[in-house]
Amino acid sequence: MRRNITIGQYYPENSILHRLDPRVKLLGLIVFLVCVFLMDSYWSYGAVTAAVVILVIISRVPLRYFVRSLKPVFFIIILTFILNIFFTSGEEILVKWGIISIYKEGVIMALKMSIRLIYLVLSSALLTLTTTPNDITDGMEKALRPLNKIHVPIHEMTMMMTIALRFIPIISEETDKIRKAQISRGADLETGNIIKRAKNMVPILVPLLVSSFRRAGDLALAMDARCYHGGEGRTKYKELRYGKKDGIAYLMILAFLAGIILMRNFL
Amino acid sequence: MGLEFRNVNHTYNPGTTVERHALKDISFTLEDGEYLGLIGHTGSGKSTLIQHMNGLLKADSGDILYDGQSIYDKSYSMNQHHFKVGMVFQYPEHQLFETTVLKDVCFGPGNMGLSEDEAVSRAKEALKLVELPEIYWDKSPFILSGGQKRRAAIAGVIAMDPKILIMDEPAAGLDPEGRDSILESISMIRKERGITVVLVSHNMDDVAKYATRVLVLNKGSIYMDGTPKEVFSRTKELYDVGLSAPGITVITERLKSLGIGEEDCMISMDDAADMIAKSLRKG
Repeated sequence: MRRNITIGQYYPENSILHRLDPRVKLLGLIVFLVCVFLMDSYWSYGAVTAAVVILVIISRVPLRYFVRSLKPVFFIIILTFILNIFFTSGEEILVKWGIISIYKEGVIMALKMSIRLIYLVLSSALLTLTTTPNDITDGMEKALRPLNKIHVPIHEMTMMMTIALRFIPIISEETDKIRKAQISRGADLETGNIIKRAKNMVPILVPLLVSSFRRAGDLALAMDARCYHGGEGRTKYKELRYGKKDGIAYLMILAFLAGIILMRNFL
Repeated sequence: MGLEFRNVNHTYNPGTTVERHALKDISFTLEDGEYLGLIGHTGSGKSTLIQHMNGLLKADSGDILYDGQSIYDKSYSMNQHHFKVGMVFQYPEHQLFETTVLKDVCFGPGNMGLSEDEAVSRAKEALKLVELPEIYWDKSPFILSGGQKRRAAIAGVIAMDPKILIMDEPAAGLDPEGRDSILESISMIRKERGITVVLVSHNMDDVAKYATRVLVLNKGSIYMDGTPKEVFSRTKELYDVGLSAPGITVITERLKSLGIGEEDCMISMDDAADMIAKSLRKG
């Protein structure tokens, strides 16, 4: 039932996107997000759309995984569309119905904003579907390492993130187990008003909290037993190394960014 | 009557990369008053099967009948079914949440709509049955020892007075003494209240000692179904699916191959002792 969280839903494949260095993909995502907000002309929309389509195809991840990633933001997209279509004024009236009038500019604005939102979600999904959470945090740690010089605890932050990500499926499983156990004891989780429902969650939340603390304690002990002492001098089992394809990918990303900027200024 | 499974199938995550056909065409009837031992290798579908028994999981196809009525009927109350078929999960102590042990045990009976007095008296009775000393009843469940927590959690299910009591590894992680006394308590409760018990266990000795019927699952299908004697006499086939026979069965078979005793499969310690004594006297 809690299967619709796409974050951390890595889809195992062996496409070129899967094999790229996570740092490349992280930069790529940032550049792409910038591009999504830079695009204004139809040409740039076309270019970004082409990029999304090509990336989705070469990722070799089934389309329904991308569709699923859009589900949680579906409502926001619809809302954005509706707000824009009704509250943007312009010159050319398409429909007039009482006090409501829909302008051509409104339709275009609504489409543009919805497309932007969809691309934002799709591009993030591209990263999370082709990169394991561990690789993402690894990439972040290495990319942000220079910040260590100004005493930003990068390693500690990424370690916390790794642990947090790792615990999402565990806690979701635990929740499911406790929920089932309490339902077996006749717990009523579905009826009543919001206050009653919140109260009914207590038999689930208390054991969940207790077990989270227990797990955290166990994990700390296990890390201690393996002599974990923070990032200082720590080596990696899988050291991130750039390959030729990563260089090419960097060049393509920069070229894409340059292209979008040029289109913004000259088209 | 009892609980009847008719061609029950269940698949996890259908249509995804992690699809798994966990139950394949399961048909059997759990008769009233039985003590069913459910054994099988990890991932054989035991947990999935017992969750179907009390309606937590719904079969993809097939039907489950309780006393002749389908539990999937619209007119059948699933909530009531949870009370008739009590379920003790693995590590049930992880579900404790109330401020005192007694309150926690009252949770189930309270949900049944009983009056508070009735719920409390049932809870007290259950706590006595699982032999949790009275001095702990008003303490927080979180300060109890592992074995005591387990007893409190089991009492929480027994207090609902289920007709069928399902337990998934109730003795896992307990010391030998705790394990014996919990299983003894359950056996006693069964005799006292005439209920049906389903015990999921990896411990063949426990199953041999308590069960009146053994069901072996392998890869989602029923592999064997019979009395403990029938099932455990097929040692070789059990080993084939990653299981084993009770220690005493292994010993008596070895003795038989050495010419001591002639009975085929022994699953009770007492019978084996008699047999050895007899052959010693003879010798």
